[in-house]
Amino acid sequence: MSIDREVLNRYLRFEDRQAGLSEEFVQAVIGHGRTIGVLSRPLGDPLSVGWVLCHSFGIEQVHLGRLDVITARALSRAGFPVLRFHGQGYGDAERGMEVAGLSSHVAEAVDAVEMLKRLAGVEAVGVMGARFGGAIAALTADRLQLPLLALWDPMVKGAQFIREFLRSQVLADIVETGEGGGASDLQSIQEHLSTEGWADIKGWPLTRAAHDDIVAVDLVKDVQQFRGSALLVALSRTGTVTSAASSLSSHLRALGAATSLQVIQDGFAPQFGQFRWRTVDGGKSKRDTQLELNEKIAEATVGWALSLIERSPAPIEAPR
Amino acid sequence: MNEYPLFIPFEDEHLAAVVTVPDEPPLGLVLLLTGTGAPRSHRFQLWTRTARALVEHGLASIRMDYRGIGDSTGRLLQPVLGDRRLDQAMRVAQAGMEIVATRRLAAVGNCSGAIVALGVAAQVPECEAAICILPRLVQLGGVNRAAMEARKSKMAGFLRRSRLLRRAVTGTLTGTKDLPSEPVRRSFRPALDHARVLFIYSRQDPDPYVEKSKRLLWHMAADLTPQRRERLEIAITDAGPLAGFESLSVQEDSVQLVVNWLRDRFRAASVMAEAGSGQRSRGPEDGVDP
Repeated sequence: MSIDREVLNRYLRFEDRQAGLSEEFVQAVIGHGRTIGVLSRPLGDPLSVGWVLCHSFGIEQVHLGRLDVITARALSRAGFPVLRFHGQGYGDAERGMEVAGLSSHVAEAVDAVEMLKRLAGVEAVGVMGARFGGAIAALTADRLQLPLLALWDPMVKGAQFIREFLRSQVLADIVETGEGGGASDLQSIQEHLSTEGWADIKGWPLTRAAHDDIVAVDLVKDVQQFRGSALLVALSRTGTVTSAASSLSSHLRALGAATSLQVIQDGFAPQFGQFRWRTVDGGKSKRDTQLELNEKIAEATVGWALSLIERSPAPIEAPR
Repeated sequence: MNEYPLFIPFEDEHLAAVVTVPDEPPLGLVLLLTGTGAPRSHRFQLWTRTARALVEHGLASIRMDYRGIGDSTGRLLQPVLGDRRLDQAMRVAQAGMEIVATRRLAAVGNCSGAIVALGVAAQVPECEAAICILPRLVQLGGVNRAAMEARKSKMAGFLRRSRLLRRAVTGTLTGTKDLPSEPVRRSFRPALDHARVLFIYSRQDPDPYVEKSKRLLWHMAADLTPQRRERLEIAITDAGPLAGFESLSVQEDSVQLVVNWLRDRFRAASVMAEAGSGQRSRGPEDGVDP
């Protein structure tokens, strides 16, 4: 059919002169199918370091999506090119949810890094992500020996992440029916995974393979050769750092990585990664409980990324 | 099939959207709208899947991010429900119709997006059909607000477990006279002046506020003129809960319901247009009448 390509081309990108950045939609094969991503760039001369954002797993991709957008734009305002994209099973990607798992996320992050490396002026690529996306970023940086890594409240142990994921289904059943909630409910989900090869977890088709692969993740063991610069953002309502974040920070330092552990204190930190709209004003409005936290994370990340550039005017490379 | 992502200018911001087009000229364009907070593809790729199923029936679609949501620009801390979202939706619909060169439009939305879809149907003359999934139609009163805010709390779970308390609360909630909210009052009849509108609810949604909306809808339907009433359809499905589309079977049922109804509406309208130009007329295919 004939479509108005002039309009399409006009709307493919925009420039925000006040913010000093542009954004452009890109379509590419990433992983096992085509997908849509957004390339954010500064309007002025870009820095030589580019960033790939790795999104989280399941419904968290929706809940944390705006953090990726806010951080991408903040980084581009500061001079960095940034690529974010929908992995297979998410958003506008070609393939459905059933293909999503640890291996697909890592393979797609690798493809996205390669894609960004081909962008003119990009000499080094770093990866970043929240929760499960943070683990994907860490595993990708380790595999590709990338020089830069930023993690926001990352999933350190996959078993804990999956336990919370499965419990969300059990809790939904309690709210819906007023029944259940015992260990037997978790066990029945596990049995369904074993016998059927998948389970419907609050609308997400969790496959047995994805379950097993994620459960096996332990970043303290799995990240083995990263020696670049890392930002580890711990989120807390009280200012304390979780033992998982402390362990990962110590592990990265032991590997030789220049690790910055930063704590962001926020009243809504415990809800990070969850549905973030709270009904207020007696039901007349809803409030984004995570927006200000997202902005704090973006600010901390930009500050850290710029500090690396200021410290190292020469092209950033991963130490061998 | 092709998909084209876009940043559509809206005042000082840019609204992200994706147009999905069939290979042949489309019968029309379907605007896909979400409730508060969900991005254009919706949870679980629901609108992406719907868009690709609509293409199989010759229908283009455009799914969009509201300002401050998804890839759209803007900062959104606390939108008032319905805050300029209708203007944004109409802007995106106009851009979509321009791109795929059609003047035939339908709008689909869930939750608060359903009210926006109803508004599009009321205000855009080209909009000939709308689907409103689980819309809350009632003007919020004090008791309603409390019920809405508490419905996912531990207390709500406790109430559901107690038959006696449940009956007492339900009795309180059903005892007041309900009125439509202002956006619903503004759009309901004007939409039905020219568009067919399907309201979808589920028997499985436990929210008492949804029950009030269903009851109000029947009251509003009873007050319509025969011409308007003929354009109104209400489907109460067994699949559910619809809230959040948090099961795979609900997602699949919802996609099928939306796609089949729109397919039939556009085909029926095409047949009627052909009949009006002197060709033999056929009746519309079965819809989802109450």
